[in-house]
Amino acid sequence: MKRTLAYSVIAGYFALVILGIYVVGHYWECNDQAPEQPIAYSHVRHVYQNGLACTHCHKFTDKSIHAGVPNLDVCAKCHAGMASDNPEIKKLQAYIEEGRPVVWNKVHVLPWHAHFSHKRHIKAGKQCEECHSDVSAMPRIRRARSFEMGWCLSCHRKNNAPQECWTCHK
Amino acid sequence: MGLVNQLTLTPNTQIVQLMDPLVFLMLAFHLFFLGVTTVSIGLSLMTRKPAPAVSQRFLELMAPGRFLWLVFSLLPLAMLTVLYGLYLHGTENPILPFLERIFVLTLLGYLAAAFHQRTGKRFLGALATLILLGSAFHFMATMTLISVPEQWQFRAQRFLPFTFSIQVVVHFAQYLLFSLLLTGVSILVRYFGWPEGRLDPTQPGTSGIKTWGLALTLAPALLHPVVFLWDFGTAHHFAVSWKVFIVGMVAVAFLLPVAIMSLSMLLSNHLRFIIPAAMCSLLVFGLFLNLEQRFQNTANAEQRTVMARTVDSENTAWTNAREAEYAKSAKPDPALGKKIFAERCSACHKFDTKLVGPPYNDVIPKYVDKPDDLMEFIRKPRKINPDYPPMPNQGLTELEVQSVATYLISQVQDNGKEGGQ
Ligand code: HEC
Ligand code: HEC
Ligand code: HEC
Ligand code: HEC
Ligand code: HEC
Ligand code: HEC
Repeated sequence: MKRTLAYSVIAGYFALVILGIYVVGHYWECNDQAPEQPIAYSHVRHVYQNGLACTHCHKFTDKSIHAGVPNLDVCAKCHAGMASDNPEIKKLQAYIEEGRPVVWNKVHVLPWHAHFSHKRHIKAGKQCEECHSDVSAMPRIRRARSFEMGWCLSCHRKNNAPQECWTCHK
Repeated sequence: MGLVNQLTLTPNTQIVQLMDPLVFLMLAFHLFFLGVTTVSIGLSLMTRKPAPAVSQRFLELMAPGRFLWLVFSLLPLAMLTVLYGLYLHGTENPILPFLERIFVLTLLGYLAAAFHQRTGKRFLGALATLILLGSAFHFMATMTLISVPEQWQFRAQRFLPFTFSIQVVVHFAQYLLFSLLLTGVSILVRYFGWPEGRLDPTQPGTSGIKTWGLALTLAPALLHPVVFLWDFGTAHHFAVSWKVFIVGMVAVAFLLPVAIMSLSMLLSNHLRFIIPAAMCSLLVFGLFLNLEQRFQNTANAEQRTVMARTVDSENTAWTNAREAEYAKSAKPDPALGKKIFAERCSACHKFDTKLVGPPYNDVIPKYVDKPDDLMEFIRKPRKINPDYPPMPNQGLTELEVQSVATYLISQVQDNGKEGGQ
């Protein structure tokens, strides 16, 4: 009798842990690092295969706080007249014809209290890869670094960049 | 560092495909041997006074004096260093120097263990346990570091690489629990499951080691699930994929029979479940290694793609070189040129109207006398006209380039003649 009880307690405990792992997994999926996008745009295609430079589309990396996700004018230059049966390109052409903007899901979002400037970092000679990894190998953009405070700080420490709280929290 | 870099050439296709299973095998051998040796020496020292018979059994379990560890632990460790050299080829990482130092440390630990078994000197045993624990800690820290590429640039100069993440502690805890579990299982299989040299569990002299074996199986099996959960709770977001959660759940599920079976054997004083319990333990160990590999592969997904690409582009360069050789003797084929135009170029080009790219009737005439320049452009398009976006590289073979260039020139010449008539 006692033995059965012991076995059931153990089994219950294992079930709880498995449930726990499931919950962690669910939480992780809700904070997905690589969200689906309205159009299956691929950096592999455009950056690796077509050899476009990042600044062809992200025009403001060295001029502004934001790198900026391109609007459809940039895509239209190539895609407006492109003859293709690819359904994703058709979708894009429909957006272009209707003049409707594509609402991309944001992959990188810092909380409101943290201030980050692309311009400063690009001017300081930082490459996109150091923070975004090699996007030309990502069929779908994902966050390849943690983008947490400790990560920002470890690089600032190494480069003797400012580490006072108010540099990033304003 | 320099030595390993020289040994590791750029990876080729076969090695890329073989790498994952090879790393898995080497990890399995190394960690199994290291863990069980460390635990058995440590416990042999602890039980020496109160139970000399048990102590002797512990010491004989992995028999470091027989130098099996050279093949089963050090060789895999050396292989791992080379394999990770390939895996991380072309990145700035501190992993290889760490692995080299760990290799030396592990060698020293095993040597101390071997002389401990031969001479029976206690301090050698204690030294061996400490060194092997230390080397295992650094090894687990390095394995964790591989799945945190964002830390690589900050660890290059440090001897101790483990201050970057709580995951190191979690992984070391997992390593310790697996060492205990696998030691327990090894004792059971070696002394009570194996047909040769089997001990009689009813003899008074052997019940001590039997109880140890069962307890060493039961306790880690009960503790480990919590550590698995902790592992997932602290895992870096960018190293996780949904598959690791499934593997993790399966691993915990297979620990349940281990716990139940060892408890049942302990309470009812029989040894019927030794083999199934050992199988389940090994399976869970394998799943754990698979999990660690998945963490590493997800965190380095881009690096792996780039590696596969390097291989591809080297292969293409090689075939293209051969084709160029062949194309010298072969004639450019207008039919092939027409096909390529229809399949690849017509999405962006027409002869008479502007599409994505300029109309051929405007741009080709300047190449009529310079077909080599046209071929060079098709091989490697560069930016020419600011009114147009850049033309993507079409990745054609040498023969295709020559054929389509010849076709375009002949078409434009024909059009020109028609216009002139
Ligand atoms: C052809 C245009 C184009 C080029 C060239 C391009 N990108 Fe993008 N990029 C986009 C579009 C469109 C998106 C938004 C859709 C998405 O997230 O997949 C995007 C998204 C991103 C994001 C994620 C933005 C977010 O939501 O947080 C990053 C990071 C990024 N690109 C980096 C790069 C880098 C680095 C390069 C150069 C190696 C590059 N891109 C080249 C078009 C481009
Ligand atoms: C320099 C020219 C150029 C620009 C600018 C450009 N593309 Fe493309 N894109 C291409 C080419 C070439 C292809 C391949 C066409 C094919 O396979 O038929 C392509 C393919 C695609 C595809 C098909 C999916 C795939 O991987 O093949 C999508 C979706 C796409 N582009 C979206 C976009 C979006 C969105 C933008 C604007 C941010 C954009 N493109 C800007 C040249 C461009
Ligand atoms: C020093 C690190 C760093 C470097 C270098 C860097 N980025 Fe970013 N990037 C970030 C951070 C942090 C964010 C999130 C910004 C936010 O949420 O405000 C981001 C966001 C983005 C986004 C999303 C849209 C936006 O502007 O918020 C794009 C696109 C992008 N980066 C492209 C690039 C490109 C292209 C380069 C190279 C020219 C580059 N980044 C270099 C850190 C970096
Ligand atoms: C790859 C290294 C690196 C990373 C990662 C990085 N930074 Fe920086 N950051 C620098 C360097 C170098 C400078 C100094 C630039 C200069 O001197 O103009 C700098 C400067 C800054 C500045 C401007 C300081 C001033 O004087 O006003 C801010 C703000 C900043 N970083 C915020 C961030 C935040 C927020 C993050 C994380 C999301 C981050 N950085 C991540 C390297 C980095
Ligand atoms: C280099 C830039 C940088 C500096 C310097 C910096 N922070 Fe942050 N901090 C960040 C970023 C980025 C985040 C958002 C992290 C995230 O998304 O989780 C953050 C988040 C936080 C949070 C929210 C809790 C959390 O971890 O998300 C607190 C509190 C905080 N910072 C306090 C400070 C204090 C106090 C200092 C001064 C010692 C400081 N920070 C200096 C970049 C910085
Ligand atoms: C994705 C669209 C696209 C495809 C596919 C394409 N091109 Fe182009 N092509 C362009 C664009 C855009 C330009 C204008 C480039 C410039 O002026 O910088 C161009 C320009 C050219 C030029 C003129 C170069 C000059 O000196 O002005 C030639 C010749 C050419 N392409 C040949 C080809 C051939 C041959 C193919 C098929 C194998 C092909 N293109 C496929 C877009 C494309």
